[in-house]
Amino acid sequence: MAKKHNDYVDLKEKPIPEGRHLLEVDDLKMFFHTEDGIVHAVNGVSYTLDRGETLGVVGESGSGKSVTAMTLMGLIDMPPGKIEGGNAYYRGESLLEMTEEQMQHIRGNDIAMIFQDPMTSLNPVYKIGRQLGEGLRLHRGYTKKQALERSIELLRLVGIPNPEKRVNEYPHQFSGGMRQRVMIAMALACDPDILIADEPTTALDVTIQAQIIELMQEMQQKNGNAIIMITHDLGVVADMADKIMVMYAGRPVEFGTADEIFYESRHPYTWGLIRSIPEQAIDEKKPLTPIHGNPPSLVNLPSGCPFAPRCPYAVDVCHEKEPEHIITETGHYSACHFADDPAFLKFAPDTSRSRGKIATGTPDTLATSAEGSEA
Amino acid sequence: MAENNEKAPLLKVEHLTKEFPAESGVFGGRFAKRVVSAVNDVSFEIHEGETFGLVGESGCGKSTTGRTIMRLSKPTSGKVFFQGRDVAAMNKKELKAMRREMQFIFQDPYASLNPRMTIGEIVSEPMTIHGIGTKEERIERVRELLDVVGLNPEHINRYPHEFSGGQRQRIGIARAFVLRPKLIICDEPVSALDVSIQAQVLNLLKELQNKFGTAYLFIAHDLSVVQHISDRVAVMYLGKMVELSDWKTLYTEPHHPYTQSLLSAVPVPDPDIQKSRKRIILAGDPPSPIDPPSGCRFHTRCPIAQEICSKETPEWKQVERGHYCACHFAQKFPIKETHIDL
Repeated sequence: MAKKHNDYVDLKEKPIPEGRHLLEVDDLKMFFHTEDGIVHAVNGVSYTLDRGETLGVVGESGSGKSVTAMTLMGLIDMPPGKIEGGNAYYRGESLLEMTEEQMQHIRGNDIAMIFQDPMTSLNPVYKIGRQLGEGLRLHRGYTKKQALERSIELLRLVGIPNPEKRVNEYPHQFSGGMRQRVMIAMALACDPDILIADEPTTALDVTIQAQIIELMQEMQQKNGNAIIMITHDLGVVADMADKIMVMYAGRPVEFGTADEIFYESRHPYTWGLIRSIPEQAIDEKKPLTPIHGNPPSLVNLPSGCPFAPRCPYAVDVCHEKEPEHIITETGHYSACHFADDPAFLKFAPDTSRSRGKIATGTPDTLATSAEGSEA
Repeated sequence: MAENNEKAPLLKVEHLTKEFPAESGVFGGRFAKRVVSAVNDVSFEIHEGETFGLVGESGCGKSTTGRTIMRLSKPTSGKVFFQGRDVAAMNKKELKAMRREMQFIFQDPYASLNPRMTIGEIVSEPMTIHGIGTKEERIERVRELLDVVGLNPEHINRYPHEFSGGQRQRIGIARAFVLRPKLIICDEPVSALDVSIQAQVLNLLKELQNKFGTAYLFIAHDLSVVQHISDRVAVMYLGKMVELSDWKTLYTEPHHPYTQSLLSAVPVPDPDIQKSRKRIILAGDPPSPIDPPSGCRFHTRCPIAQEICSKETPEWKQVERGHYCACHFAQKFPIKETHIDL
């Protein structure tokens, strides 16, 4: 374990160079070299993030959303992983060129991560207080006593009742939602600049999910940190995200503000995702419009656009040429050959806004139809 | 749909209760003093060709309800009538016959298929067990069914590991349909799948229902999925059924405060709706089903709980035709602009 160096200056104290962003990921490529071939896990990811912002990363399993985050954190074993191009800058410094010692200062201190499964990401044989205080002792040089006191404060902050007692308990004495709160407290202990949350609510029930999302937003307002929210649930990003990146087969296929992704999407995969979700409270039940087929293997990627085999609109050029990112003035990009073709964009799904019935939270009554279902 | 109320229901569940011993001892917990009250006094009916949705959070007893109906575990008390006959009183032979008509689709498409069997063997096994057809006939039927569920009949000799999660769930569905059962209990059939695959499987279930007229007991935690597929929906909380109605009423006019908060907690994939709607965030975690709260089991988290709620168990009463609710203050309109602090 690295000791706290007193002469070390926290990167988060450093001002962001003029014209730069808090986090800049630029055409990042990370492939795994395995016996079966090269796995194109992260293939040209680019985005920027500023303090106070939330980036939602959406995609299906195996689309590379978690691996991208783990690459930034230096948590990928190299080999089999290998950076094949691109870079990532945190406050103007390249994360990929840092030494392991520097990365240890970054992890937990500047960039912290919450994992999906609160059951397995806490150590069952250590008390909560010890696990919570670990980062503080490591990065801030707190004494045991100081760390314990701060841990109690943190537990109180994330809404755990009776923190003085709970701090001396073990993870198994906490429920799933409580454990996720502990994870959040742990991630926020050193007041990080960026909080990466990898499917933080997937293992939780909806009422608990709502509590956790609320808590993360509250903490963000208080601390001004940026959040990278990795999820497969478009509902969760609609709730939280300022910007959204949609990933497919290791590639970012679309990136834009939440409004751009939900209401002005320019990529057929995003359309497919939106159409796959059962609409809540409508008068008539229509069959869902799924995306046909299965995601491709990351070893044998189809030639051309990786989504072409499943894309209902694919034409010859899609199977032949890999699309470039077509960027609008606002920075909204889409990796589709037809992203700037107005005639093509007419295929985009109807959303509540385009239907002109901005919701009130109550179901719409526009569609008139016989009651009940077709079954 | 549920219009054929005059007809005898396919499945009738009356005051079903299932308790498990809370501690295991030398006698397998038979003399345990404390019990886990997993399902408590649950009653409902399922009609032919209908989809009945059962929603609730983990630990609310929805899966136990499904398993007890199928007699994968024996009810502590209460009755389950399938086609007019009491499942709890059946002997082994009768049970076997009953299970020809009632099948199960499991949540985990990885764990529920034997990795050492080919998919042909997996799908035809129910026919083998029930001694249906000759070997050739069975293979013919399996091929036919594989085609119906959207798999290539040529893959009949492949093993489960050669298929993706969505395809495996299709195999599980083919297995459930091979005997042409009257009722299929689907326990979280899509929750392990990605959204785009989930939509494929939901559409398939709907298609097969239209084709074979099978009734579903659809158990899931995802409200939007349940709403999409179900004709009628029941909500469970901590072993109790709290509300039951047709899908539309449940989603547009929920009476029970738990249903209301559950609905408001579901994130809607639409930023405008998300920003404008009011949310009820419940405080705390669901209590343990060992020694559940007195009175209404929801009163510890309920935003509108009164004194009576902790004392008296609310009655399961009909508020409108076909709409049942168990709340002392069952009311039509959402809880006033509530936002409970954590």
